[in-house]
Amino acid sequence: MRDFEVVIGLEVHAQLRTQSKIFCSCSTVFGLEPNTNTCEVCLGMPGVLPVLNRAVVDCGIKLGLATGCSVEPVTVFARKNYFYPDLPKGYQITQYDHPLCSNGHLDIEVGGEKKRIGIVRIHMEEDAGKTIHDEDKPLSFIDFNRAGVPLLEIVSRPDLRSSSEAVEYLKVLRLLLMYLEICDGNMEEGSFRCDANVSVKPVGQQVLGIRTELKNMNSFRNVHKALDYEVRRQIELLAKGDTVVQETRLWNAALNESQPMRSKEESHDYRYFPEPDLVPVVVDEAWIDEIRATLPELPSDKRARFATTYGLPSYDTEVLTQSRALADFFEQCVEILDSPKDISNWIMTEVLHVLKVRGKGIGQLGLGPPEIAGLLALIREGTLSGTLAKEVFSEMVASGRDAHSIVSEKGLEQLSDKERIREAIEVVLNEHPKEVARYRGGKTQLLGFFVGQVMKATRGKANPNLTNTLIREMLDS
Amino acid sequence: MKITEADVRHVAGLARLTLGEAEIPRFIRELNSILDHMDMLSALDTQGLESTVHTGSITNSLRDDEARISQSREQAMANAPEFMNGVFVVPKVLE
Repeated sequence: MRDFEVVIGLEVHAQLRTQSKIFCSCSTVFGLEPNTNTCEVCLGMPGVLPVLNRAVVDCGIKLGLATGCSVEPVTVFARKNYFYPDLPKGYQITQYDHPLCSNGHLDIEVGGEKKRIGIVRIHMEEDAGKTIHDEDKPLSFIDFNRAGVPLLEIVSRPDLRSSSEAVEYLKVLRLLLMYLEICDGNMEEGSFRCDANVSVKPVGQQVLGIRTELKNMNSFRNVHKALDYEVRRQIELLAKGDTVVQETRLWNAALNESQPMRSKEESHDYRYFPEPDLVPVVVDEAWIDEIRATLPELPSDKRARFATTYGLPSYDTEVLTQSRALADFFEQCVEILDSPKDISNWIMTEVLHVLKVRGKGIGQLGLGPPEIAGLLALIREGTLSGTLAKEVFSEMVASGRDAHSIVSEKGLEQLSDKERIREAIEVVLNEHPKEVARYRGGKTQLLGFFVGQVMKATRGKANPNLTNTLIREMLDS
Repeated sequence: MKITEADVRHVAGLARLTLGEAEIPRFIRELNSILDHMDMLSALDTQGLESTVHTGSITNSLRDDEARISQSREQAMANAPEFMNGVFVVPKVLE
């Protein structure tokens, strides 16, 4: 069989975190009673006029600047005409030949290799409503709360060569949108959605193969599986001499396969034309500068800075910068206690473990940087052993109290008083004469046994290093 | 003749219009006369002119991002042929 090359381009729809919809003042809050966030405009009543939300343009410029796009000086809306019950007007207001931003890029890294993925365009548009199909009766139900919620559509160049590259691109884009605070990135709730154009061609062939469009992949895992499935399907078709049919396919996560979408062949005849109800938007340098001034440190820059400023390994910088809030939390801890690597370790293991178990973000930990730094300071100054610190941390998480008060209340301070440790060792040695004799006879591996017994006797409080040294001293004397 | 009978039927289908057989020749004629008019415009030299995307002279008609109370659900459903448990009910559509 000949080798095939995979060509993938992605279209991402990101729901914007604005207060109100793109063309009317209805709220964008998710999960309210159906059809309560609707008005004459987003229900498409005759005679109404849309008015563009300034914040939507702001969001688009922001993403454009962060992806190296050029922001078009004059941007225009267009009508995309099609009939579907979740689109009350019979057309979607979107952008066609004058998108807000174009010609940018995102940098990704797969298997240690860096790659630049082109972005063709970023444009503004309105979301459609939500359709629910009745299981038994031939009915569909429509909720228009989502109709008119602002979206940015981000179209990549067909630069992606594998499902792994595609998923990495999506992860990088999602993180960027979240850093810019323009999208919450929630894939399950549909605020970050992606469609993929996939084709394969024999290696070396210049002309692209016939592509299919994949929809309905609502997690990174599904994107991965759906793309692998589609690539395999197309290669199998070509290998046996068949051709790929240009069509839209829906991923069925339950069956682990994609199926062609049933639609009329005319459905892609959208008859775009300039939206007469909206005037052109002129974006001047002053507006762009105003937005540029609000740009936060971007994820890639933050990673690089964490590596140089704090001397953290690449893995740590990646984990800590997975959200702006987590990265800020880390830096606030470091400001209080200058031990970046200890703090990083504690956040990556204990803190993230608790958050994962609870399904929460760092903001809902119930403990702030002073509490975490306070706990780690106790370990560093030798007041608390690493083992007991985990216990104290669980208690802190449960009660919201600080480490110091828990340690003194429970009497968990590490025992570093030589005399008292010697007393404990004395007792252990007297209780185990046989082991003492064997140790002195050359079985020095028994040291660990004595340390364990001393720890048990002091309920884990004895300073382990000191205990080690003292036991050796006493046995060797 | 640029517009054929097939074009008229196609466009009517896209717009969900049911045309009587007798209406089709009329639309062929009318749509062609519109295109003939466009041909006159196409004949003009528009080199160096920017394309007109809007006939108004204003730009940047924007509003601030403030959410306001929407209309009541009763108002939303007032014109709907069928409404049940807060949602609009339509004949089944399949993707």
